[in-house]
Amino acid sequence: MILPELDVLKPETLAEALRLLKENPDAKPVAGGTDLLVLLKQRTLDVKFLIDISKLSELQGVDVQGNDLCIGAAIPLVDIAENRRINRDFPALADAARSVASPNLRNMATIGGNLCLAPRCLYYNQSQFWRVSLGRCLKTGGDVCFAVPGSKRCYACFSADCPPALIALDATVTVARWEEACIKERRTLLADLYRDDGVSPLTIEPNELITAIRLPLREALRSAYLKYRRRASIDFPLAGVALAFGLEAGRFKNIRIVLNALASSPVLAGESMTLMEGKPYSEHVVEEAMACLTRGTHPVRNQVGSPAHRRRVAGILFRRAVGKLISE
Amino acid sequence: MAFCLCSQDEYPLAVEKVRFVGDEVAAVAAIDEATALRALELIDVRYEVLPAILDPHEALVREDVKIHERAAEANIERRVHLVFGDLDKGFAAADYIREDRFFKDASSHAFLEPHSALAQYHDGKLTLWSSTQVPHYVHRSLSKVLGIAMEKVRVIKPALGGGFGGKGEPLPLEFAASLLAVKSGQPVRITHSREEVFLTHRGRHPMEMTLKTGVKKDGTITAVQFSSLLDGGAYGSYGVVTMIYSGQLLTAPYRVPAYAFDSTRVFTNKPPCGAQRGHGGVQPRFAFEVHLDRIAADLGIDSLEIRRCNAIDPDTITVNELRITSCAFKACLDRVAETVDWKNRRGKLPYGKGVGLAGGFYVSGAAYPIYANPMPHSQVQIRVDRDGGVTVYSGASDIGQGSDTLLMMITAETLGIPEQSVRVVSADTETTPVDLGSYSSRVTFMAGNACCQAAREIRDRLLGACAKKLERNHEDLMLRGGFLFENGKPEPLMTFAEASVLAEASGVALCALGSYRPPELAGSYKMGGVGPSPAYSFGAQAAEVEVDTETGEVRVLKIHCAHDLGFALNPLTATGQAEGAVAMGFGETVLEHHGFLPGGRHNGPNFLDYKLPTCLDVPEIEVTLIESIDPAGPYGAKEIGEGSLHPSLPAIVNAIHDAIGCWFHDLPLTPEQVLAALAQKEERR
Repeated sequence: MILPELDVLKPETLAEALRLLKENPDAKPVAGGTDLLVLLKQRTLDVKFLIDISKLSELQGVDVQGNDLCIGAAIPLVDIAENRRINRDFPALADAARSVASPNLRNMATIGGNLCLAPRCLYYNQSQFWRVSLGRCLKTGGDVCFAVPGSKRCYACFSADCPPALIALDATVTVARWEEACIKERRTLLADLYRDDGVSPLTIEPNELITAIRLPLREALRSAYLKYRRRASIDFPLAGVALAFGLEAGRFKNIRIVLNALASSPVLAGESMTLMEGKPYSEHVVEEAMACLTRGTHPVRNQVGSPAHRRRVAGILFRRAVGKLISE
Repeated sequence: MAFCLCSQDEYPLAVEKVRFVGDEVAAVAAIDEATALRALELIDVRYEVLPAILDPHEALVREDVKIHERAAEANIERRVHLVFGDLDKGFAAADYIREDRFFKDASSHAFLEPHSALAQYHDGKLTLWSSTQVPHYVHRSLSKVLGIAMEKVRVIKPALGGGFGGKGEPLPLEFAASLLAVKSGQPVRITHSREEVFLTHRGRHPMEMTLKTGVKKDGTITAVQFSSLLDGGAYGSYGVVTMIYSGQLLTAPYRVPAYAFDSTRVFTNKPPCGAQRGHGGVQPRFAFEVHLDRIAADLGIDSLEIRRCNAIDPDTITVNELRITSCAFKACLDRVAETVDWKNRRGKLPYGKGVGLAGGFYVSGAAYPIYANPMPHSQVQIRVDRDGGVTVYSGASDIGQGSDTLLMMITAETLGIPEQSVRVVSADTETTPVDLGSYSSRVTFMAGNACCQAAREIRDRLLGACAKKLERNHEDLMLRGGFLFENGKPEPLMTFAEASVLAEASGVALCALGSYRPPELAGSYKMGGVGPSPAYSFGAQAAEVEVDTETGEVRVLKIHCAHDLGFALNPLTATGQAEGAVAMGFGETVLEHHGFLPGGRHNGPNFLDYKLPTCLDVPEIEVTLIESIDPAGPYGAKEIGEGSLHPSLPAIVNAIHDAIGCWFHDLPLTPEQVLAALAQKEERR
């Protein structure tokens, strides 16, 4: 497979990048390119320009700003995985970054790119030759779904590992765009960036760029991310669980449980969270939370393995994550 | 013109009918890839949709749908039924009889370099550089199909990124590139994408198998009955050989006094299956070794013991007339039992952890060529330059296994010269003598023997001439380290270069041809030509596994491999071959699945969906090379590259049983299957 003909623009500043993004509706920002270049080769995206944002100074750095840890969007995943501060204060994020793809991909891929990873489907993430021979699906402008025959919506599977961990850690993101000749920024909860829609999973506009991720620094926060997949060396998740909580007098405080790869967006396990909040740890409460854990999810046969199995494994990962964090 | 070596049922581009998604229809050459792709889009192919058969069982009976007209009955390509010894008597003598069914699904070779062919046509002469394991067969087929005399066709095999059987026959792209070069007068290259590699396939056959074995109370085998159904895909490829091998290779490494097998290969509308590392024997070996473990478990016999008590000895003729010479199978079993600490760990590890073992054997080269002919299988020519440098010309195809290095080492050893002074020119049909190619683990044995013969001829001529000139006995002279010595004297008489000048000056030509052709070994029955080999390798493996009984995941922690390769000419590359084979066997057991969607499309023709283990997934592997010194091998060597794959699959499956008490008869194994089996076991309680 070869890349389509493309121009790569290399803006020097964030302002210039945002202006280019606004002026070129058929342009896409690129940093590591580990997801984007494959999509381009497979012709699932039609893009004329790439805007290289990987070197922009405004998107670099991991440092404390006020009560937040601020992470530049162009930081490679390897640097997230190896960052001492992140490993100490936000181990769920370090776990997640470490579990993305393989070492060489983590060297290239960035945290910002991981937040924008397109949901995946066995029937979509294939070559143009293969897709065309099968026919158009909901995600490619057709009206059928090959994964769920008869479905009216696309169930492409959310497959990025960092977002569930970041959502469990109450991350916010800074989103910037070019407006009236200057940079306009807005802050939003990372969770609000996503919607459960396989075709259009991101709520940000095409001319917007995520510039930074902010994590509120909290005392005694425990967190972990566990991931299930066929090959521990490289594969996308078939299920994932991000968990974060504090313990106050032995009781769960601010517990957050986010499930991965079981819908088109990360799924907050609200029922389980409510069940556990304020309760002391016991095997019983964990079993109860496990029982309703995946209620808001709807995995389908668009990944290897059975949906029921992926749900079941999510429960096991959840229990293991609680056990691990309790014994810390 | 049809080209396939075995079945003659394929055309470079489909004629009238396409039989699977991936069947080549048209070929276009352009100044670059983008232009060629645009040109392809302009070709409008109208297909009349025919009923497709994807299930081999359906292929067995559907008379109304003929994938190939030549199939006499339904879509059956070939059938073989052979009986050896007195089966009834064998089963009658048994104290215990067990029957099992097994299934091993398709897998892909997954060589790193996709197929590639570059053709040039100049002054009426065609040159093809191709990523092939078999330049001679390609040479012969190109000449036949394109109607160009062999002397006007030159096939060159450059350095290759692996083959594993997937480049072991002439392929459509080689003909298409050649024809386009002839038509355009320009060089034309076709390189498969990874997707095209999966679509054109020719990998391991899905095989459904049944086994019935009778044993005495002590585990001694009295009779074995086997059947296999091979889902061949849309064309013949090497499938008939696969089919015969599947039955023929079950009569060792255990004594089987009575044996029968019934094998069938059917056509289906899927990519053609062909030869893949361990060709024909991998699926039945998995089935038999698990079956044998079940028998052992039923009778309360230790898995190692049942294998030791049935293990064949050297110099045996099997019930289907395979002539076994060197054989260190028992030593292989004992070695892995020792390194895995069988005595203290089998059946004694905590729930979820287990060890298992399995044996196997394989041919060191097929005794008969793919097309019947009485000529040598390998020829090697060696020439000494006037400065003492030596050049070896061989048609053998180094596809990454290191055959060029082996020829260099054999030549250096035989002539007593440093390895640096030997150069190997190989796999160029214009400059090198014929070698049948890299398949059926034949190169070390056959090209190695031809090389030995040529080198000995040169050595003897050289020593003879020197003896005469120096007035000494031929036997008193020897070559070592690049010098000519007189036996027992530490000071050399002269250098190898000086000795060769002396020999040439006295009228001796320092250029010799060695050749190798296996002895007549065919069985005295129809199809008795597939299975016989001039030597067989033997091996045993033990696997250590850990099963996550909640998620169903199987972690293979370590595989111990002991392989009787006759003699280790190059221990480093031999170990590498065994490690690669084990890694491939591991992948086929728990990860790799070459599968299809309901319409016959490949379900994920890429390395993300096809779960090839990466180097981080492969377990620790400990290889022991066992040397039995084969009487007919070059310096006693036999094969290791394929036979060392066979025991991996069943050793893992048997270890899983030791870990969790569940048997698995279907590969590849998924976590879902493991959990289902555990649930079933729970229910039975």
